[in-house]
Amino acid sequence: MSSPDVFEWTSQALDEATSLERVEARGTLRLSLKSSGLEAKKVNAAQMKTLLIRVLPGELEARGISEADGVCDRLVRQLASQRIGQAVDADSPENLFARLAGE
Amino acid sequence: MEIFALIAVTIYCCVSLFMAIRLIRMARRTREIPELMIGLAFLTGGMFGYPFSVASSVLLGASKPVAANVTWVVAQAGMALAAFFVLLSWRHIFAREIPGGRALISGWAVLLVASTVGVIMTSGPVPGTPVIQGFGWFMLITQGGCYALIGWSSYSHARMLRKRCVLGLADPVIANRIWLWGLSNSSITFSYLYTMIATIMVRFGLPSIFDPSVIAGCGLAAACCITLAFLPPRAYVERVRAKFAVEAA
Repeated sequence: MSSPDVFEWTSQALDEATSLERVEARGTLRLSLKSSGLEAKKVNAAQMKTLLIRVLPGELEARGISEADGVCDRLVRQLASQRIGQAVDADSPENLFARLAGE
Repeated sequence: MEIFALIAVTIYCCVSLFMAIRLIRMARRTREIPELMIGLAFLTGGMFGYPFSVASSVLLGASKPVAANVTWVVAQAGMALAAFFVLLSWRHIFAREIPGGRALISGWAVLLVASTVGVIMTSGPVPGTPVIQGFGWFMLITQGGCYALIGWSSYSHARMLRKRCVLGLADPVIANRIWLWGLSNSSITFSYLYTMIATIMVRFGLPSIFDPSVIAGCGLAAACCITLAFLPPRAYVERVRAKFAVEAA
């Protein structure tokens, strides 16, 4: 259900697509996840896609990466072609609290 | 103040009974553990622990010590069971993947049982400020800790969800619901803390600040939070969404 693969795949792809070192790529991704209220071990593909579109370009630009939007667009397309992190956690607290209120 | 306390206890018991029936019926349908645990916590805490504790004080005041003692024992058992079910719900909602979770729950359950049995064997109902000694401290900490734990986890998760809301990855109403759940558990935690502080003050010769109305007020606050979380009026939901839209903008 949880998908550490999505984080691992994205951090590796980010490392390969930019001049960031592996540790920097992972750290940048972790900081972006944290500022967005997401966790590396639970993030799914849909959440990562949103992060790549809306948060990561700004983080990469702040670290001097040129054409951050283009890099993130490519990562989004590549991530979509991977078959990882597709499952949605039905037992997450948010799904449970939606159920408890009869939604 | 006595009327306020009576009204607050009645409201808390009614909300607890309603939620217990609703969640236990839901659990029969869904076969899921969290709703069953929360439902049983409402049933044992809201229908046995809290009201029997109040009844014990009333019976003690009416010079019926035997009846007061019996209701007091039922209250202690109810409150311990409620704390245990709250702890189990925490495990199934917020801590499914923590290492050693089963051992933590088992150990905590042993402490809850030991402290409750110890209190029942060594003390009884008393008028005024509770006299807490030995097992009493042990019991207050192990029970209050269950509510503190789920309250803190709820706040923490609600804070994460609010960040996700900005990206459209979460519903602000659900984030608010989890925050309210944290608030209701925090108010119960506060009632435990208040009892401990009042006892410490008396022990050090300071005037007693213990007032049953404060405990009743905590119950009333918890009942309001639970109602807003699980039976929210449409106006409240719209207000939460509107407030979030303004913040996000």
